[in-house]
Amino acid sequence: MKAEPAGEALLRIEEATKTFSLRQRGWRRRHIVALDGVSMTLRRGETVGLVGESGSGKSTLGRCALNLLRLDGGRIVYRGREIQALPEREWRPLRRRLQMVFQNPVSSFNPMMTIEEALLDALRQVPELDVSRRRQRVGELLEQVQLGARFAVLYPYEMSGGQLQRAAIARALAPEPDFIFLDEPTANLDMSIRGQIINLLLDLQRQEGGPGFVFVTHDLRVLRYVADRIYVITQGHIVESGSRDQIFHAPRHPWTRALLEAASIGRRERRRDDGSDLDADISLESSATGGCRLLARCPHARERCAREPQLLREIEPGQYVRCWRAEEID
Amino acid sequence: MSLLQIEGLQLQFRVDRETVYALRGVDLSVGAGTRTAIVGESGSGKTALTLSLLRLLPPNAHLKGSVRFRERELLTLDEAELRQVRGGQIATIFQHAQAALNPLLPVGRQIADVCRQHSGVGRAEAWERAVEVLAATGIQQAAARARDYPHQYSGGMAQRALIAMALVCEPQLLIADEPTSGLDVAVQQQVLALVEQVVARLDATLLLITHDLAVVADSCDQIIVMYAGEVMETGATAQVLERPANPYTAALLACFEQTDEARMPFIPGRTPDMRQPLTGCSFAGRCAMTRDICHQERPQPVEVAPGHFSACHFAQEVVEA
Repeated sequence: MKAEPAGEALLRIEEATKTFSLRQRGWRRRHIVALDGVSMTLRRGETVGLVGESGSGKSTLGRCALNLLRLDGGRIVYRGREIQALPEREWRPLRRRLQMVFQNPVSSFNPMMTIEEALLDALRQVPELDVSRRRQRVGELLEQVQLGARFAVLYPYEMSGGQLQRAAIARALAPEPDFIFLDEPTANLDMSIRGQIINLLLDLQRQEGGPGFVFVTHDLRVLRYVADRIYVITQGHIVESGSRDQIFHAPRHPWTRALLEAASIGRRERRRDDGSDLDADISLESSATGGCRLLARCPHARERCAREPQLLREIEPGQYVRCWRAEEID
Repeated sequence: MSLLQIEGLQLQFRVDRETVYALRGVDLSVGAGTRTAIVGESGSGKTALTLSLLRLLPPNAHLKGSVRFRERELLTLDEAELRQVRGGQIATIFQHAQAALNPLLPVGRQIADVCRQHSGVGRAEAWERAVEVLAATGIQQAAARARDYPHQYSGGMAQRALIAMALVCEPQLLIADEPTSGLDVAVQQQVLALVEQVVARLDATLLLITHDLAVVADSCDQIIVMYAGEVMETGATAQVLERPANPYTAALLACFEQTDEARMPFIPGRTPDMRQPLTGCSFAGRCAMTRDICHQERPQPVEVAPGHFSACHFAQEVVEA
């Protein structure tokens, strides 16, 4: 296991903000702040977990990092260049270096194409390979994701969800990327086969010169095995980040703790539904209350939490927390 | 006493000249006043089972067997009788609350409609009842929110509204089909706690359908584990989680364990083809203990401890392992 941080910083997200504006009745607009000053660094070859619930902004962040969505503020710097400011001509050769694997493997494949055709399509992005070399590469990629060349002739409907998700990873590996963004790659798979995908990623991590991974998920459990570092995001804010061991063995933010509790069998502290926090569904609307955004649902909230915005601060080397009470609560 | 008794339930779908075997002979009973979980992965038949109870099935479905609810056979009821049972004595909370509500009607109106259908009260009184149950499920300013449409509700609130709808007729059996899927973790816990509260208040029986063993451990006292349209194991929650007697349950539990192992456990192979009838055990193709008999003979439930049954030829060995 890689203990020390991997290589140089390849991709930096700096103070990213993104607001979606929805039109409601007539001229009124509702603003949804999906990202609110998110910063993140991805180093060569490392695996970063990004965990958050639905609506937390995790997918928006992934899309922005791949230049599929424009930021409102902040920068994304990849290999020293601000990718969102690049003209299309200069961005295109870089694009293949940042790949994506989607949540639903069935809908992310063309049902009319065999797996070989889908992989050949992806390999067209690699101009240095001639046609016969590409066919050979298809076989190698399928071996790499532990499927084997016999899967090349199959259509997506002939494969199980787990097999298809491995094919999706093969397709993302094809253009020799620096990073693969995996957006909930195991969420559509049953618990009993999630391990196949996770263990495949573990094997890919060990390969020399392989890509780094950004693993976007709402389920902390799967990150325990694969992530070098973890960012916890909610409501467009990073509330905690640190190494895997820090997050799993010494989580400091109440939200991180809640996520960990929810994922474990039988060890959950029951919080009674006493009516105090019944209407505490997170509201993403940009209200200017100024205080901590998790105020309404935090069991440790104090009066000060309502007044002061919380800042991300380093509590241990490499571990950042957005909560002023982080040291006291245990 | 058992409230719900299911015997030899088989459900098949005819699809393009092929038969899909969704339930392959399910026997189970749910005791009155229990909180019972049906646990299974996709394709295990857990949702097919709940839809079969209420006969909410498409025309290509073929259902055989017996479902007795309070000693009354449900599978032979006519439509009118069945309508009184559905939503009245047996209420269901479906997954994806937003999709289960009618987007064109105010939430309160939908609850009032259910109330009028089953208790025959007038319009005004039904509306009052609707507001009352919305408030009881923790919706603030219920009178105003009752006039709102589903899209004005958040996911957690929509789930509460669905619970309110189930609550309004005071059912004896409440079926909750993955009530927390798609909700974030904090809201999940609130919704589960609310379901438990409602069940306790009505003195009703809960049948919770879920794929998540973490949910079951807290919320239920009985577990039914399903796989490929069959019941693999039943018993008290503590028995099943602490001393599983079926290799499938044991393997599934291992996938949920939080360990510091280097690799994540998984069950190799894939679920059997649902278009084929099975001769042996449905888990034989993926099980680490498989022997010849597993492919040849379907295992019958064995009682390994009082009230703890496992359909496995080697149940005794598994439980002692």
